[in-house]
Parts: sequence; structure tokens; C-alpha cells
Amino acid sequence: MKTENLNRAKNLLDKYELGQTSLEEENVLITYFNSEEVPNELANYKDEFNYYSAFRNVQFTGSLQEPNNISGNSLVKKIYKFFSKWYVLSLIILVPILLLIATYQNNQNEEVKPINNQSFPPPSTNDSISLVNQDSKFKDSFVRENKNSSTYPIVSSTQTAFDTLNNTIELGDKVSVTPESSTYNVSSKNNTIELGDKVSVTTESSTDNVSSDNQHNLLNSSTDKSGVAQKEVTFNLTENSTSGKLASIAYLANKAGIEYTYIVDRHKKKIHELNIEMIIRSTGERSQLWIAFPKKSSFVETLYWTVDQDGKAVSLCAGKIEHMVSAKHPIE
Amino acid sequence: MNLKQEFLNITGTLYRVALQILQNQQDAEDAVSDFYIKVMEKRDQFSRYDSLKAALIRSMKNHCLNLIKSRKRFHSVEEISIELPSLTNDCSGSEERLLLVQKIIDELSVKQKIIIELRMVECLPMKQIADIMEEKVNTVEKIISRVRKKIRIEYENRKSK
Repeated sequence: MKTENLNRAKNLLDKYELGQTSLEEENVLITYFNSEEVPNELANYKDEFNYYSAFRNVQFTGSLQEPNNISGNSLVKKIYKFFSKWYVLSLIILVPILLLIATYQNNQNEEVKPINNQSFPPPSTNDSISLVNQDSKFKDSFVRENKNSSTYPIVSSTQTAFDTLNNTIELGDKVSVTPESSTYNVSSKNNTIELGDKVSVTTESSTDNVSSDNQHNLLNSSTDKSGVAQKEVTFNLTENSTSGKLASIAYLANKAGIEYTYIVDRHKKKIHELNIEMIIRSTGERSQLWIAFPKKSSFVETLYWTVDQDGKAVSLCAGKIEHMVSAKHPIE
Repeated sequence: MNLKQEFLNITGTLYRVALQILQNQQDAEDAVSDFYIKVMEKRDQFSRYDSLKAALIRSMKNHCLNLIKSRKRFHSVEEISIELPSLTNDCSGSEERLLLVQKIIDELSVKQKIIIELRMVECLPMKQIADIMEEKVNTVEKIISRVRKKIRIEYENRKSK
């Protein structure tokens, strides 16, 4: 019996040193070495295994204190944890902002639709008309702008191709402007309307000229000394004005009977030189706005003309030639 | 099983692991208490583990290893007084021999110490040990084999002196 155990122990010990023994086998070894029958040759192993057995008896004699704030999995904590996750927080913040922006945009741009090639039906008198933005399609037919700073200018002529556009309000149409949005400000002398308001076309006798550039036009109505109603059509031009905008101004000028020519030079999509020449065909009155700025600088210029009740221009704004750097592009 | 209950079940194991790592009875007791508080405060983090026991032991091991790292900044390693509880009650020479074994084990690397402790004292299966040590089973087997050989050789050497 002893030798059997001994042999078995020796076999297991070989496995043991290779790390191949199972838990049960190791248990067998432990019990064997706890017994008294171990020969001297295996005394070293006995000491080792005794150590392990003895160490199992070591107990924890300290004390465990509970932490103070065990609120555990309370509901409040869970809610707090949920809301502190970054994606929840960002959603909570962003969604209202986006909604606000969207509704604000809708108010502004409700009337603005991009032009496509279909022809719209002519506006019936009681419909409200979308004030459309003129996109770049029609300007392509007559004007080329270079977007990088190169030296050749862009010449535009305003004579042709406007008539393909029939989806704007023809100037001269009798239009009454009824303010329907809250951004309408009326001063006692001038009826100033921010575009973006709904415009309904009726056959009322008072006429206002509405131009289709929706963010930069102010409509002033005033009466001059003779009592004839005159309207001023105004445009704000900045270094960010788009080519579409410039082309739409050109179109409107043409409709108002102004011979309108312009050259624009850009650097990285920002205007740095603008040369506009206007001549009222009927009276020959001439005005030139020619400004040149350092590249990437900003500017604001106002361009306007006054129209009579037929929508024909009667006077132009004063010209201005201002070159903060040397201007390169005269109108020939 | 409930976290607290599981913790109390293996308090002995956690304490012994801490002893092997920290070499000091007082430090080990403090470590276990601190770890208990830590676990109770972060109970939610333990809910995702399948084996709470392995997770707790692994966490405890890491806790003690961090303690060692921060210790090293202030003391050199030799200064730590190695006080381990006495293992036997009898006064035969067996205590000396046990101390010798203990000394040899102390000279092992921390990883080896922990593995030997988990296997021989706690009798945990290889898979669980591998889980706790964040190693592969093969690696753990090799380490154990190497350690056992080393213990035998060292013991033979020193005992004869």
C-alpha cells in the first residue's frame, strides 16, 4: 500500500512539475503529503505541500466597512446616469437647436424655390407667388465668372436670354404686398418690406415693384415732390455676393429699362473688384460703380435706382469709383 | 449571486492574494477593506461579468498591483517589512521549513506568486486562473511548471546549507 501510494505520488509529481496535474491529482498529492508515510526522498516536496496547506488556513482578520453613500441602484441615480451619457446630452441640446434653425429657415425661405426648367403657369391674380431666387442657370448663357484670381475680367452683357425666364414676377405687374410675416416693419413714410414675406398679386391700383432677390432688397416707397409715387429699388452688395445675385440685379435692371453692364473679379469666391455701369435707356442718365478692394477684404456697397409706377427707371444712384488697390478691369 | 455575498464568501481568498502581493499583513488588511468600499461604490460595473468570483479576484489583484506601484515611489522595495502570519501552531522545526518555502516564493515575480497562490492554495481551475491573470491557459501552465521546478531546486539548495 505504501509503495503503491509512493509510486503513484512519484508519477503525479512528474506531471506536477510539468504543470499537467489536474486539481484532483494535486489534491491527492496534498493529502498524501499530509499523511505520515512520506519517505525522506520526497521530504522537500512534503515541506512545500505543507506550506500550501498551511497557507489555506490564513484568514482575514480585518473589518469591512460599508461606504457611506450606498444609494445603490436607485431610480434617481439611474436617471441621472442615463442623462449624463454624452449622446443623450448632445441630442437634448442639438435637437431643439436644429428645430429652431429649421423653422427659422422655413420662415425665411418658404417662398424660395430653385428654378428648374419647367415653366410655371403665369400667376393668376389671386394666387400668392413664390418669390423665386434666380439660380445660376440662366446666367450661364451669357456670363462667365472666373472664381480664382486670374487677370482676365468677366464681362457680362445683360441684353440676352433673360426672357427665357418666365417664372418670376414680371416687373411692372401690379402687385400688392401684404405682409404676412412678423418681420414686416412699417414706418410712416416708407413701406419697407423684408422679402420673404408672402406676396399676393391682385389688381389693386397701388403698385409696388418687387424684385426677386430675397435677402437684400428693401422696398422703399416714397413720394417725391410732385406727388407721383416713386419706388426705390435697392441692393446691398458685399464681397460674398453670389454671381446669381449679380445676374439677377442685371436682369431686373434690364427689365427696368437700364442698360446694365458689369464686370466682377473674385478671389476664392470673394469679390474684390466690381465694375457696374448703368445707363437709363430713355434718358441716357449714366452711373458707374467701380470699386476695387484688397483681396479677402470685406465691403458693403449699396446700389439703387428709382422707378416710376410703370416700373421704368427714372434715376440712378450716384456713381462711385473707389480703388483701394489698383483696379484692373475697366468696362470697354 | 449578490455582489456583497460573493465578496464575503471569498474574503479569505482576496486577503491571501493581497498578502502574497503586498508581503505585509497590515497592508493586506487595509487593501481588502479599501477594495470592499471600492466594490460597493461601483457595484454596477460588476454586473456585466459572468463570473463574479473571477472578476473580483482579478480586480483585487489589480488593486494591489496599483498599490505596489504607488508604494515604489516612496520606498525602495527592501524597506517593506515582510510580516506574514505564522503558519503552524507547533514548535517543531517545521516552522523554519515553512518559512524557507515562503522565502523562496517571495523571491518569485509577482505574477508567479499570484498564480501559485491561486492554484495551490485556492485550488482554482486553470481556466479561471487564466481569466484572472488575463493570460492564456497555456501561458499559465508554463509559468506554473517553471515555478514548481524552481521551488524544488531552490529548496534543495538552501535546505542543505
